[in-house]
Amino acid sequence: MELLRLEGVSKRFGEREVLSGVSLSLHEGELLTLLGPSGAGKTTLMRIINLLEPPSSGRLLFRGMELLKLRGEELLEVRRRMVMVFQKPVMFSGDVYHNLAFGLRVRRIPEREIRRRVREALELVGMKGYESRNARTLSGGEAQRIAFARAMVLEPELVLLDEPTTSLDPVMEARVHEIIAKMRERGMSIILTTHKQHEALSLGDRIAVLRAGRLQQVGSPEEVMYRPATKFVAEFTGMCNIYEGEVVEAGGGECRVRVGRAVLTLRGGAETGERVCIGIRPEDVMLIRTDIPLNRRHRNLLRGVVKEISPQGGAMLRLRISGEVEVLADVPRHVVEKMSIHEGGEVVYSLRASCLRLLED
Amino acid sequence: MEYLLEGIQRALILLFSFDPYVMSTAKVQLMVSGTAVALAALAAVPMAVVFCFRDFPLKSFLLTLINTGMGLPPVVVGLVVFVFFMRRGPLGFLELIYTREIMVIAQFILAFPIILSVSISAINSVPISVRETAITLGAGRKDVMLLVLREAGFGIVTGVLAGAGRVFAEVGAILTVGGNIAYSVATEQGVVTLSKTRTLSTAIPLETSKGDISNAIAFGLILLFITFMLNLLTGYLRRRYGIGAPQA
Repeated sequence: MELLRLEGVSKRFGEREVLSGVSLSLHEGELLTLLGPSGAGKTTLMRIINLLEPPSSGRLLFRGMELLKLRGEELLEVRRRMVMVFQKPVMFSGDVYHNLAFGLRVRRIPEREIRRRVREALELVGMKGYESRNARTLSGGEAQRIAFARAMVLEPELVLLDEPTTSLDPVMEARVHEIIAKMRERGMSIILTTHKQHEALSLGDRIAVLRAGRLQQVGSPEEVMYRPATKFVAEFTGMCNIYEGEVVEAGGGECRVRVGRAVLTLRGGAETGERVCIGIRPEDVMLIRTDIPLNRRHRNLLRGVVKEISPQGGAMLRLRISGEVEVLADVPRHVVEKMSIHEGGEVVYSLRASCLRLLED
Repeated sequence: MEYLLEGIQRALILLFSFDPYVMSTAKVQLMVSGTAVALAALAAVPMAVVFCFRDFPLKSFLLTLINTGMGLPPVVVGLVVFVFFMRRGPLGFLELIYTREIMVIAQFILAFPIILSVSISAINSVPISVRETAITLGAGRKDVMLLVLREAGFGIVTGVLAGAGRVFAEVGAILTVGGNIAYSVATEQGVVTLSKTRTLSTAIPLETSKGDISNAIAFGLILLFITFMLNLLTGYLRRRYGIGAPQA
């Protein structure tokens, strides 16, 4: 069931248009990640959803209720069903308990119930027994977790997380991701903004890519990663091999594109003579063994020299190959070792036709 | 130097023997200035809230007026109050001239703009992110206001103490409207002088000009003690509650 829907939401600050015509929906229990570089309008969009900022135009519907038409008690009632955790959480002066209890007290929850819920929330974020700590003396990571607890304790239907991991180290980031998983177990729907593609891809049920206030693409992680709609989405989701070329032949659902000295075959419709942009993810570049006869089925076979090998974290290595087409390839370490690939060595590689994508500019 | 040492010695004797004249003068000072500060705080803090949370016409003009009020010369305030309340003045029928009540009024006028102005800047210096956090956590208008007041608490207390500092130290206004009056009564111990509208700060120049240095020093010591306690209180509140202390 649809929880939230945005229709044509725009926002201008003076002459500057920060958001233009954003339409988006969120289903119950879903986690939507808003991916985009800083300045794309992610935070403004979150603030509009949280009613901290009125949009210049557009509609916001929460369970079918038009938010911008609500006033007074009705508005407060709906606002209390969602909560936002800011990028830099602010702690109220006083102790941690006061911080967690604040939202419950304004809802006139009995103090006994508040004590129970605060204790539970602190346990959930791994900060049991922190009730009487001075909130202003917490470290950045601790404050971030208290901010999460302060939101969770309210048992909201919708949680807005604005760049929750931007200023955290990887260990803290993993902890925050665990907390987010717990929020989901409790049935909370979440919108999370981030500029980290790995975070957007691993956490989101769906990803919305925002650029300069406009939505570029909304889709599942697979769609956004392997079928990016635009060059921007491709770049931002880690498709680092992007080329411009000219279509030299087209037909039968395929086309041949000249890139430098090479002619590459890929799926997709285009007109002969058209200038196009194409791309392939680094993990889709295939290294071909040359000690056995070449398989005729491999298309887009190219030769080149390995210029650089650098670790990618985990078991992957990134190869920079210079040849007919310059390319970055992510290859498992054991494959590199087995094929005894080294810097300065020659390789044959394939840009698989099924993985090459036509990209809109 | 001898007269000074002797003065201090006699002043201490006056203090620790609870000399009726010294004590009654200190009592008048505490009553007048204390009441003036308390009333000014009661009026200024809610008004600061109105200034910070609502928009109304002439707001910036009024703010300028308040800031000007912070620098009002006490003697001029005393004069204006005197003119209004003198027998022939528009409020003369109240017959308040040379009473403790009119001294409270004059000191109220001195303390009010300071407390108001410092409270406004204390409330305004609470980061907007505090308000927004409260709103996103579901706070209504009133809840946000109370939270912001709490966050600004230390600044507001500082404002009240600054107001207290001003009125405990001033002479001109209470001298002009209060008249610095003491009276004598016959008791079993002899004739005793008691204060009617004389305060520590107005008594000091009088006693000095009379040449009674020890009385003046005794009054000075009590005034110093009061100021010291006010500062001690500020420090204590800050350590004890940390409320509204500037964010790290």
